[in-house]
Order: sequence, then structure tokens, then C-alpha cells
Amino acid sequence: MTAIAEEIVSDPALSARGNIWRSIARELKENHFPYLLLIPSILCFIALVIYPLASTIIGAFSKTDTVGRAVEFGALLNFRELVRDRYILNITIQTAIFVFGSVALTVVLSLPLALILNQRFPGAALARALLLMPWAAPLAISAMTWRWIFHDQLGALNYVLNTLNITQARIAWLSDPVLAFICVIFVEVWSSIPFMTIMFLAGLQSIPPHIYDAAKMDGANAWHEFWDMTLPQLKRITTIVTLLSIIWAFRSFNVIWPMTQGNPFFRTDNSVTYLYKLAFRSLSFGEGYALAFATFVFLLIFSVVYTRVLRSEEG
Amino acid sequence: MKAQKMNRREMLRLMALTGAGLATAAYVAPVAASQSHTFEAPNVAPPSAEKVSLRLMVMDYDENMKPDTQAVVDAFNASQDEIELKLEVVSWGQGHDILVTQISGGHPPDLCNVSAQWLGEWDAIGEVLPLDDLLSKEFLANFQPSSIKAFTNKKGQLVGMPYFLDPRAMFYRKDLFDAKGLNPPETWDDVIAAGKALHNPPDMIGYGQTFSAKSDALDYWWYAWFGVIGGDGNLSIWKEDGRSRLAEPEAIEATQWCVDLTQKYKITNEDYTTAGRDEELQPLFYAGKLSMLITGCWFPTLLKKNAPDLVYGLTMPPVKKAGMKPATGFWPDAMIIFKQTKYPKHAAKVLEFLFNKENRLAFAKQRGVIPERIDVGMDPEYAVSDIEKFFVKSLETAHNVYETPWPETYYQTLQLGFEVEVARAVAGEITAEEACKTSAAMIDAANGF
Amino acid sequence: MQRIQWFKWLSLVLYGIPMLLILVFPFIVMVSTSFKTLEEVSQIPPTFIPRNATLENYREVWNIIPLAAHFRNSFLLGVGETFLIMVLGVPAAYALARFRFAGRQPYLIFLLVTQMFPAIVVVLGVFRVVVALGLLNNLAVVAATAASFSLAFCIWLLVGYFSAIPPEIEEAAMMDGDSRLGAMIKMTLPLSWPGLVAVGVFAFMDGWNEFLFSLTFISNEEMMPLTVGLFRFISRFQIQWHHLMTGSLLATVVAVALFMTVQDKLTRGMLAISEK
Repeated sequence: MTAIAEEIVSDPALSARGNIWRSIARELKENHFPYLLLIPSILCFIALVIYPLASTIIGAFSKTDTVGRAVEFGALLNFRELVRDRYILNITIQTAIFVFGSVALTVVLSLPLALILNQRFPGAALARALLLMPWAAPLAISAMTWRWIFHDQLGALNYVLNTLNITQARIAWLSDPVLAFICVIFVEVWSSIPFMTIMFLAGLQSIPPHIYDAAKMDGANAWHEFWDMTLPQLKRITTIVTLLSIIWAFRSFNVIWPMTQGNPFFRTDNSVTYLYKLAFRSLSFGEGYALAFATFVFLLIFSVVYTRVLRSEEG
Repeated sequence: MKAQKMNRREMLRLMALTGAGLATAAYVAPVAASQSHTFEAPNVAPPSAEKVSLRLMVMDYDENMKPDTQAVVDAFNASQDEIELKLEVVSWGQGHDILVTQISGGHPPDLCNVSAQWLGEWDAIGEVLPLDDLLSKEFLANFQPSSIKAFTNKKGQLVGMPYFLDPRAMFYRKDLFDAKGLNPPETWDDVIAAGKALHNPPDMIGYGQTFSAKSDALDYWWYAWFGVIGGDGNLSIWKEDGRSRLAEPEAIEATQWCVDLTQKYKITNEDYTTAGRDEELQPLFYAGKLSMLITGCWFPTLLKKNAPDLVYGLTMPPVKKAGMKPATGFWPDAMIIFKQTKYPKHAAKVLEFLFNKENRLAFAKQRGVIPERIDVGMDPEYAVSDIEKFFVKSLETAHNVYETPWPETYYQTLQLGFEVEVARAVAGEITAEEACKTSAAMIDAANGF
Repeated sequence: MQRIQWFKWLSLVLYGIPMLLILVFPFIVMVSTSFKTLEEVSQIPPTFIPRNATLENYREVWNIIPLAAHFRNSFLLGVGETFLIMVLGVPAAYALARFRFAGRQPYLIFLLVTQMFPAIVVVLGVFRVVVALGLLNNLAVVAATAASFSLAFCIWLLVGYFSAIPPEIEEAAMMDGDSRLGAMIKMTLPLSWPGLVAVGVFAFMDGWNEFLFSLTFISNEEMMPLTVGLFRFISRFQIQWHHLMTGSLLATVVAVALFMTVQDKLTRGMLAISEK
């Protein structure tokens, strides 16, 4: 079912050949149609993407000045500094919790929402419009709004809780390290649910209706219908969207920064906000690049393992 | 299994090849860029009969910054036909990153107002143009000597013009103080007495402070420091030899004061590790829920807009003991010319226009900022209210927090290092002494001791 | 059948409605704030229904910043990115889904690699490229940059959709005399319409929400999109909440309305094609 994952891991057409460039050259002569289709996107990457990525990688191995230019070769200097950093271990743990926590929650919360919204009911169009709102709002500004909502005195949340008599306390949501971290994850999930739900909806709509017909004749109940038919059909899209969501969560900046800037004392930082502090605040751009590179290496390994594990699960 | 091995090898090879190719490309480009700017002759004559186009970037202080500055730019463009000045307005929160990107990309604006902190960073890598040869002595004689001195670097060069001087003061709820017969918060004891009498959360918070690395870093620690040292003492946080003074007893005492306000007397806001001065504390004061807040000279203008009926009083930041001379400080901004400009002389002309008496008087009145031109400060049109007189007077002795010569590592070591340590001390995680000693050691190490 | 109906309503009431309420909660605050005066914004406790409701903010925001121009620019970015992603992404995804050729897997992995670096450091390099090309203050460049950094997801998603469609369908069309390209356009694209719509929505939203590249490449206020333009309401010593909330609310509502109309038309059109 996980078509792409499977193919990445073993593509017989490719593994049979030794040198990739030679085989590309050979195939270009014999079978150039797919390459033609790739050309537009490749040109786009060459023009705009490759140089910035390469200069980040080079920066990780260079001494940099206070505006981020590589000045001279620095070997592993930046990485040594990074390992010595007092907070780096905490940041790593926080990043892991932030990324996997928020992505898992998003998936778990979005799927039921997509199933509900995929049905017909009065007001379905309105419900879908409301669903889209968090996605359509500028994220940096909605995160600032959340920060305002969470404020102990000025915020709407305590006001709602006090009015509903759930608590009479004025909780300073973003001042307690643990509470603040939960709030940050909450807003990250809040901001990703629309995207995830829309992707699930697209997945649900592409399930051919006739697969349910046979089941109905067999008298399968709704649960079995969901578990045995809907879920397997969604698996392909879920693997892709989850993989990308994890990668994106590693670069998520516009939730944490407007909300807490990593406060209190680096307890709500993830690797990107910390990297930003290293680079743009402490002006240690080299260390920032090194952290970006380390994250990249991790993600690359993770992506390969991710696809491989899925493959072995399939048997 | 075999297939997988092949794949990995191929992928690595592909990555290595692409990497090598890109490495060459990536190195060639910045080198070419930096060379072109090094070898460019300064002040190239503009193509004849064409106007020189210059970019003026301003960081906004308030919503009117754009129309106000646009009017000045239009007036400048109308006053001569040699230069076409273009205005770009940038939000403060984004200004530093945009400028870093533009400097590093070889495309900074010609002129820009920047925090003295950033000025220090970029002067250290030779990106800021010294102004001594471009501005006449007669012109510079118009300015408060202390404000000019504030932007003179280690080499004795003037690298920026004072653009926004913002001395700080204690704002307190005069009505509440009078009702309870409390002394104005001029000493620490006054603050404690008033805090105990007025602090009654959530309806009223006694004293506002924050250590969140937002706004201007560390300002609430500085106010405590001013209180310990006083107006007659040495307010520098650096020793003669360049080492940090943060491990000295005075610094520990200042930190302890911040800790005690929260931990011992319990008269502060609860969100002292996350609040922003501008985002949360000032609004709390507008809402009438905060009785004492130290903030800057821009605040009366905001109070007039946000809470016109609030009755408040003004004093200098409180001192440790009665009888000490109070002190305050300012976190100045400067207008600078970037060294990458192609037309330094033309940019200097813009600078002289921006800093003429008429424009600076208008700016001071629009922003509620303290004038750096002597003639503006004395102009009857400027100092009309007691508030303005108070701040003009306080500027005479105010300490420039960034200092001259400022250490290049200010931002790094103070903001990210010390402020976090102070925050942890105030939160009760470590002692004030630990916070100060760890930070001093860290700062000295960063400065090569 | 009865039981399923019952379950549907229960899940809607117990899960769907509370979820939607949480999702729109900040927008309730935005609506409330947009009718407040600056004075009432910082009142404690906050009010949900403004005491002195005013429409003033809705009038003022258009004058303080060039809001109409910001709307136009955001729309152009959204449409531009959608167009670019379709043109660049669909052929690439089709090639990657239908053919086995050397370099296929490395390309798929490379696509992921383009997603693995945080934008805040990458933008330094992109800025250098754009300066070198002399293309600052150009919306098309912003759209192209944003598109190239979002292409990866779109291609991956479309590969998934395309490879789920049996190639036999195309082969049948080719037997009938269609070219490969014709068969793809006639058969595969309509059959994968949910994926195309999803990618389209993603691309539009990505363009509409584009922030960092616009912030970096555009200094002319008339050319800024909403995301950047609205920051004028966040000045140094104060956030103009009443204006900021009004502006963001307008931005959000327009985007959603736009999306609803387009999605409706798109879905119907695609359905019509696929049912032919």
C-alpha cells in the first residue's frame, strides 16, 4: 500500500546498475520522456534552492562573521562549540517532545474530524470554512493572539474559565515551564489540524465508493468498515503527510517565537528557535548553521529509516 | 539486502558529487560579492544628469512613523535635485534580521536608524561608515556632547547620529499613593511599603518587572543596579581592564533586590519570566492594575492614548537608601550610514537634513522623545509640560547602557547569558550570587580572559 | 442504518462542534477586539461584547496601511504559487509515479532534503541569489521561491495519488490513439482530482501565508502581502491590537471565502470530468 515508501527502498530498475550517472546518461538516450517531465522542477531547484542549502552546509564547517558570512574554513569548530553548549541537551529533548508530540496529536485529532466532515449534514460547508480559518490566518499573528489569550490578567482564557466557574484562579499559563510547553504544543497542533484534516478529507474522497458495497452485503458494521477498509485506504496518504509533518515540525518557528521566545529560561525552545537565538541573537552563525546541519543529518537518517520500517512492516 | 546496500552507496555518491559541485559554487559567489565591494571606489560619480538614488530605512516607533518620515523625505526630495531619497519602513522586531540579511547579501540600505547595540555589532566588522570627515564641526556643535560621545567608537570615530534617546523613570499611581498616604517610590523602602499596601492580585499588582529577553534586554536589572550604585557612583558594568563587574557585591545586591521583590516581599506580577514590558506590563498599567512600573519617556504619549484618565506620578528609579542621588539610563538608537553605500557624501547630505532643527523638533514632539539637539531642547515649542522638563533634565546625567567603548559581545553575553541567570534567580531556581558569578565567568571567558 | 445515523450525530455534537469551537476561538477574540476602541482593548477583565462597539477600526485600517494593495499581493502570491506548483509539480510527479528510471529514488530523497533546513538560515542564501539576479521587490520571485520550497510536498503527495491509478487505464486510452500526454491529461488527472485539489489548496494557502521571503525581498510597501503589511500595527512600544485584529480577521475571512468558492467550482468541475 505504501507505494512510495516501498519503491524508495528497492527499485529494481535502479539497483541493477552500478554507476548512477552512467545509467542516467544511458537512460537519457533510450528513455528520455520522464527526464523531460522533471526538467522544469530541476531548473527551479538549481536557480533558487541549491545554493542556499549548500551555503548553509558550508557555513556549518566555517568560521562566520556577525552577519552570517563564512569567513574561513573552521572544520568541526562549530560542532565542538555546540556540544559544549549548556542548554543543548535540554533543547534536543524538548525538540523531540515538541515534534513527535505535536505531530502525533495532530494526526489523532484530525482523522476523526475528517471522518465527521466527510459526511453530509446541514451546515457542512460552514464547518469546513471554520476548519480552514486557523490555516488562512497569518500564523505569526495568530500565535501572538494566543499569547494574549493565555495572559493571566489580560487574556480571554482565564476570563472564560472564571466565568464558567471552572477555576477562580488567574493562571499565568506561559510562565510555568511545563504549562508553557504544553501551551506551545497546543497551539502548534491547533495550527496544523486544518492542513492535516484537509489532507485526510482528500484521502477519503479518493476512496472508490464501490469497495464499501461488498462489505455492506456481508453485513459488516461501521467499525469494521472503518478499520478494514477506510483506514488501509488512507495509509498511503497518512505516511506521506506524517513524514512531511515531522520534517516541518522540526523547522517550526512561528508558533514558539511569537508566543514565548523560548521563555522561561529556554524551557520552551525547540531546535529552530534556539538556532535563531544562537545565530541572530548571539551572532554565532556558525553554531546555528551547525545545529541546522545536525538536524538535517538526523532528518535524512530518519526519513530513510521511516520508509524502511514501513517496508518491513508490509512484510 | 543486496539491493539496499547498492542504494545507500549510490545515494552517498550522488550526495558527495552534488555537494562538491555546490561547495565550489557557494564559495565562489560570496567571495565575488565581497571583492566587488572592497574594490569599489568610494563615492563613484553618478551618471551625469541622473539623480542619485538612496535608500533610507527606518524602524517604526509607532503607527505614525511612516507618514511622519515620508513627509520629511518628500521635503528633502523637493529641496534639491541631486538625490532621490526612498523610504522603507520596517517593524522593530524584524529590523535586526532584515539588516543582517541585507548586509550579508551585499545590499544594505544607505541610511538606517538602529539600536546602539546593533551599531556595535556592525561597527566591529567594519560595516558602518565613520562620519567625522563627512559632517562639519559647526553642525556637530549643535548636539549634546554626551549624545555625540555615546556613538563614538573605540577608535574615536563618530559612527552614528543620536536619533532616539529614551531615559527611563518610575511611573506610579499617584491617586492610590495619595489615598493611602504613601511616599512616592523614591527609595527601596518606599517601594516595599507601597507594594505591601497596594499589592492585591488580581485586582492590583504592586510592582512590575520582567526578565524575558524581550524589549530592551535586562532593563529591570539595570534599574536595580542604578539604585545600588546611585548617581554619584560608577555605573559602568565593566572594570578598567575590560572584565565584567557582575561578580562584585553591588551586582549581587542588585540581583538580590529583583529576587526579593518577587520572592520575599511578593509584590510583583507573576509572569516575570515571560512578560514583555511593551506587550504586557504597559497594558497592565493602562488597565489600572499596576501601581508601579519603570519604563521610558515614550510612555506618557502612550498613556494619553490608551488611558487618558489615569492619574500618575513620575520619579527617578528608586535608590537603595534615602539620601543617595538617583540615577537613570538610556538605551539609545542612532542613525547610521552603511559602509557599503556607493555615495557617502550624498548620504551625509541626507543626514544633515534629517538632523536639522525643524525636523528634530517635529520628531521629538511626535515621538515624545528627548531631543539631542541643544537648540531643540531649549525651544519654547518643545519643553512645555513638566513631564518633558523632567526627562530633559534626567538626560543630563543618564547612563548610556551600551557604553563607550562598548564590548562587542554585549548582546551575546548579557542578553542570552546573564538575563536567563537573573530570571532563574528571580524564579527561585538558583541564588542571586550563583547567577552573578556564573555570568561573570561566562562573560569574561567570552571576552578572552 | 439507524445506528449509523445516530452515531454520526453523536460524534458531531461530542467531537466535531467542540473541536471547531477551539479552532475558531482566537477568531472570536479577534472579532470582539475588532469592534473595540484602543482604550477598551487593555481592560481587565477583558470584555467579550464590547461596551462601546465601534466600526471605526474597519474604516481606519484601510487608511493606515495600503490594505487593498496587500490583499491584491497576497492573492497574486497565492494564485502564482498554485500555478507554479501545478506546472512544475504535476509533470514531475507523473514521471516519478509512472516510470522507473535511474535517478528516481535520489530525486525523491532530494525533494525531502529541500524541506530539512530551517527557512530562517536558508533565507540568507536565497537573498544573495535574488540580489545577484537583481530581482528584489518582485512578487513573481517571491512566488517562485516559495513554490520551489513547497514543491517537495506537492510532488510527493501527487506521486501517491498518481501511482494509485492503474496504468492500464492510460494504456487503454493510448490504444484508442491518444498520445502519452493526452492519456495522462484525459485519464489520470481527472481520476486523481482529490489530490490535485488538495495540492492546489495547499499551494494557495502557502502563497497566501508566505511571510519570510516577502519580508526579505520586498521593501516597497505597496508590494507587500498581508502577512508582512499587518506588522505595521506592531510598533516598537505597543501592539495596536484593535487594528491588528481587524486586519488579520479580514485577511482570514477573505481567504476562506475565496477558498470556498473556488473549491466548490473546482470540485464540481472535476467531478463532471471524472464522471464522463
